[in-house]
Amino acid sequence: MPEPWIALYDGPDEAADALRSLDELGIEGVRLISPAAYPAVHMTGRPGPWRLMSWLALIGGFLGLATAIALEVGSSVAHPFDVGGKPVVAWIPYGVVMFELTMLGAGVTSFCSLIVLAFLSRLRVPKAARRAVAGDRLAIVLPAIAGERSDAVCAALAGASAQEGAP
Amino acid sequence: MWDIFAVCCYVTISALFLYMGMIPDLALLSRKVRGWRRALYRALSLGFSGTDAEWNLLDRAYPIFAGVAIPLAVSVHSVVSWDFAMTMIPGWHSTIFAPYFVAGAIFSGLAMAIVLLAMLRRAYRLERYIRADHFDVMAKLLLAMSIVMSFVYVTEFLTAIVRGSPAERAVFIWRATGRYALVYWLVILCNCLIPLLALSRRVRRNLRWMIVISVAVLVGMWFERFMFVVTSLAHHYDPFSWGAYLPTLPEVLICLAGFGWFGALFLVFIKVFPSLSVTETLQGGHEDVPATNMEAAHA
Repeated sequence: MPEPWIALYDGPDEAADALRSLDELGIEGVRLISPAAYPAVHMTGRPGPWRLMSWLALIGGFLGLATAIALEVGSSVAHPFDVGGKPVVAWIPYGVVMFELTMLGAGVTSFCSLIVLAFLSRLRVPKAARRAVAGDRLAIVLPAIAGERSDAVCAALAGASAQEGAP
Repeated sequence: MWDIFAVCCYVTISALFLYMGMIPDLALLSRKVRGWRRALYRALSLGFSGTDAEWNLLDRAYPIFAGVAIPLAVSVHSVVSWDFAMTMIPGWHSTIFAPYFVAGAIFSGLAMAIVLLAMLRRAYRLERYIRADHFDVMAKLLLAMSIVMSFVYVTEFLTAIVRGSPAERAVFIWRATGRYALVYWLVILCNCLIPLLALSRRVRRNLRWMIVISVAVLVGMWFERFMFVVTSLAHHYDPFSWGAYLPTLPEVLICLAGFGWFGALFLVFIKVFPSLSVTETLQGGHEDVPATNMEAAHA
């Protein structure tokens, strides 16, 4: 499998120019590595499994809610104290714990899914490209281009004042 | 049960939110520093590389976390207020307590943020990043919260006087005229009157004035909690149990230790971790925002 191409840039504007040029050439599978969330980060078509996060948070919220119900009802049934004839399973006072654990479940699941999905998305970017980025520089990573278009792509990358290129 | 779940959930989510925002900074710093900090930052950055997919995930995670944390903040302060409101003690048994506590938390939290930001700005020479505009906006919010607090004070006082039980009425009148009247009027001065100075744009953009107002609010909010805990317990239904409370030396020392712990942990945190978001600063620096002068503050 051919090595991917990596171009390094000192500033986000140069990287953004290069991304625009690559887009005009119709190059697909371009990825960007950036130390900050510059606007250029959003020029690669929002790759990655970010859409999953909301669904995972929702599932985590429901799991938290189910845990709260099980905890509250289970503890009340296991230790049924009769207080003036009031019902042992009292839903209104349970509301607070149900709400808190729903939110906790959604939050913790979001965080865990962020870590796991970020790890999985990193696997799609070559390690060499991630290592090439140091300090404040940005890197554009794209699949190796062969044939006539390679010159045009090199020109697009270099025209945007790339500091280095590989291979 | 309520308190344990509310406080623990709030602490957990707040800590995760703070940590999540720091991950890109830690990843960036791990490539710039050496020694034990490098190992620490690398471990805590969880392998974040700054790929576009990771930034997209962070962009998605922020609103989810904000959507979880804000209702939790409201709920935790409401739950704490219900601990008081569900008792039958005059001065506490009130339906306004939940919004009262939520507004009070925002009010005092904002004042604390202003004081800490002013100190950080001065100590680390962050004038370029923490600008007069920021203090101006925070001062407006502080002013708005002060008006909300004033409304709450007037509402609970009038409700007790006009529609309250005799015991409720007696407590509120006693607060304003009795043994702790000085505390009551100090609270009104610090929380309702002094923040009105922020109506002036010149005051809002003056760092020293903002510190004075914020410290006054912090003092006022501390004494407000003292006022409603002590006065209600010192003057409730049974006149035989009426009395006065003065803190003992151990209580004063425990209170001071609380301030000390907070200060020490805060200082350790800003010593080890970035006090300002590095990646957001890079982003802001890219836009090249000009620094503005804070009038008189560093004259």
